[in-house]
Amino acid sequence: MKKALRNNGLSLFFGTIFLLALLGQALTGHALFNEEQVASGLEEISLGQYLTSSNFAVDVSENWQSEYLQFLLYIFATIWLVQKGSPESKQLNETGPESDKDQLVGEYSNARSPKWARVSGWRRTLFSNSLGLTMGLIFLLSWLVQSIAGNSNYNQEQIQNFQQPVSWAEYIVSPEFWNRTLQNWQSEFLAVGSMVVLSIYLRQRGSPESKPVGSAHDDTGTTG
Amino acid sequence: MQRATSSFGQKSRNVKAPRGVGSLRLGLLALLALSGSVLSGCAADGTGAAEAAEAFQRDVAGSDMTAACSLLQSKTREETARTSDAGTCESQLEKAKMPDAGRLLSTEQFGRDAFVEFEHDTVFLAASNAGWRITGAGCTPNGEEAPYTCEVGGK
Repeated sequence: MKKALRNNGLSLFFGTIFLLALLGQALTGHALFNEEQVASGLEEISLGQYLTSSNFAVDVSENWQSEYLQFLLYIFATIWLVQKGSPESKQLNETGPESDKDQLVGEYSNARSPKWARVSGWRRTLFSNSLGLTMGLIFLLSWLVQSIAGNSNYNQEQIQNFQQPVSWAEYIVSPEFWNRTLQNWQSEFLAVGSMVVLSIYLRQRGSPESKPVGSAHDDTGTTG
Repeated sequence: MQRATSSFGQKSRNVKAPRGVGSLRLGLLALLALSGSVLSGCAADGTGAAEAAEAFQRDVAGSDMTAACSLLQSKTREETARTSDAGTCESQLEKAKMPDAGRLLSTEQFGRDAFVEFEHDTVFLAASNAGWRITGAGCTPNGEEAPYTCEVGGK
């Protein structure tokens, strides 16, 4: 039990703080929603009603999509693009999908390799891209949910302001949809870009996200 | 905001089976639940809202202003009464130039708000614990972005 906790510390820690933050978002979002309802002369709603509302769904999904897009881009960009001195980058001469030998697939696989890395054909291709595809799928689904929930939420505001609701097709080209989207994207891109650059010159002792403290600034692709 | 980027520079070539499959599954389930709640919210057909709007139109056409006023949202009813010389919602409704709405054309419901279009009228509604209540009736558009002008309720 103790060993299982230690061996899964990272995922358990992030899973726990994710649930706590989501709970906090739900409770504060519910309180804020009801404040606005009262201000508009409308009735307050229960927490259950808030959790199934488009207001909650759009706030959650717009953040999710940008986080998954961030990792999706990072996963794919780091195949082809390198950054001299960054522990987040591969070695400068290793751009591209690399050889089967480097990737331990097919005849270069070993006894502990996953089955789909050992076989050839579509299963190997799928497994070789499974991380990027899954992140991409979650990104697209979250963005779709954002667009549908955002459309519904926007139309509620339109009706409360005695304006005509808009269709989904109109909503996805609206300033409101793109403003919600881009304000999340810009912060993610900045954070990833800063991580790539700052990790060239700064260190965090013991973290695999950093180079070893004594590594040279131009050492690329080494982790501490 | 999250900062847990993996290190692609790591040269350990020990390919491991995908980890965290359980939490990934949980995440996907959460996403599906989120989509489900969103889609079910959108799938609401607005029948209740349309019925309330039609009942309001019927009451106004039949000059049953007490019944019509009872279908107004409380804040709308108070404001309607306030704008009347006699100080009652009923007298203001009698004075209002409510159009003959005609046939019901469409209903759009989003969460707790609804927009109902008749041949010659548009009605705005909000859900309350007692059912759908009118927040604006006798409303006419003022161009694409501007709010409608309403005979009863509205801005």
